[in-house]
Amino acid sequence: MTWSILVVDDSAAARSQLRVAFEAKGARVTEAANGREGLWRARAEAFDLVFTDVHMPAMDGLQMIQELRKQPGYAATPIFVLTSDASTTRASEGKKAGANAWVVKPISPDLLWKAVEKALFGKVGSATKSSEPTRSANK
Amino acid sequence: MKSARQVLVVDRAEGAFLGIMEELDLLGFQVIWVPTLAAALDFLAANERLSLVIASAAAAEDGGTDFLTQVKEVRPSLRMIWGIRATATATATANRERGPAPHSLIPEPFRPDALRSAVSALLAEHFYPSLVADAIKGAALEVLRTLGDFRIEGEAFLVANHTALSDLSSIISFSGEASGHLMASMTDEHARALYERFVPGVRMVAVDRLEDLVGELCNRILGRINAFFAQHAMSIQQTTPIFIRAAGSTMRYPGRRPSFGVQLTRGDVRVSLEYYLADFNASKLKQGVTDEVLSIGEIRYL
Repeated sequence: MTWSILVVDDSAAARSQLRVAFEAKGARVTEAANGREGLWRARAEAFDLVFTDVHMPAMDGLQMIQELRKQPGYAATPIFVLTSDASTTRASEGKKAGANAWVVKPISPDLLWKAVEKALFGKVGSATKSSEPTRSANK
Repeated sequence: MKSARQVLVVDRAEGAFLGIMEELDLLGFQVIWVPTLAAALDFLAANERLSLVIASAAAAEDGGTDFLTQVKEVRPSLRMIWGIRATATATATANRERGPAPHSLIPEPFRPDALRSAVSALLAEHFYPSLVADAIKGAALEVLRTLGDFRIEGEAFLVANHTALSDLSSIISFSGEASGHLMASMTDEHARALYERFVPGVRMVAVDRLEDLVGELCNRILGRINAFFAQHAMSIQQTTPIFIRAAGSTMRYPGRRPSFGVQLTRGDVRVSLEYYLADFNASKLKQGVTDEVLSIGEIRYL
């Protein structure tokens, strides 16, 4: 089974960068341009892992995470914030919203993929505590 | 920051400095003209907010050495630009090495660019303290070096409302304990070269996507600059990017301060940044680094 990853970012270039890198590793990537679209996508399909930017039009990333955590099936899904915002205060807000990790852009897609593997093999935050099995990839 | 600082212009005839006086006024300085160095001495004795004295060669020849000696005694930090007659350059330079001297000597008749550069250099610290200017340059290098061996080719203080745009530009505003905006600009061709590095293997990229890359780089660089302010306990909120395609056009905004322009290059690829700091809490900068921020590329598990 292939890992399914949702990438939420208002920058199409940033989404493309992750799509190309993650698809090369065998993952399936779905894109959303803001938090609201991210929620729609997440309601329509269960994702193994979510990356989201913070500053986006329509709905920002932290709002989206809060809403996502209320969705059935997303209580334990690893959610990574991928942002240029390096403030630890903002990272704490991310934790309150329900994020598992705060990643500061720019970061090499290869390094990010290692974090994906770590998360989906059940080593990150609430993902390890979940009673819901995390889908595994056929890698 | 208060910007009601004063610049004193000394010239026998009012009018020779009109152009630069107007620019300084636009930048928020109070510009005062006096005809003699004696009047200038009276003025500086009574005005603590005086930042800069610009004197023409004619005025400077009339008791200039005495003036310099007295100024060095009573206000050693006061900046001075003096005009010199073109024929007197060698003598003036020699005199400058021997005794009290102005910070900058500019041959007359003044070329507007030379005068503007000298003024900008001497007033730079007033608008962009070196810590801030270094943070801007450092942030740009930190981000762009993920796309190759970029280096800083030039920097300049630009008068607001004189911004020249390239093919693709993106602007992100920020507000809070520091406010202003950052603009990133580059040509279509240079954006395409960077995109190939950003998303390897992708060809035939639409201009929307190139523009989007300019916005993303602008966002990342501003994020690092804001990290500098966050280290000094300043909270900043930034907006999402807006995009402009307007090669050869200019942009005007109601700023009364100069912006800080930085040019970065990687081979033939050039990225222009213009950072405009409308206001910031300077007292927090003086307190030094107080808060932790995350490094570029850091993954913090929560």
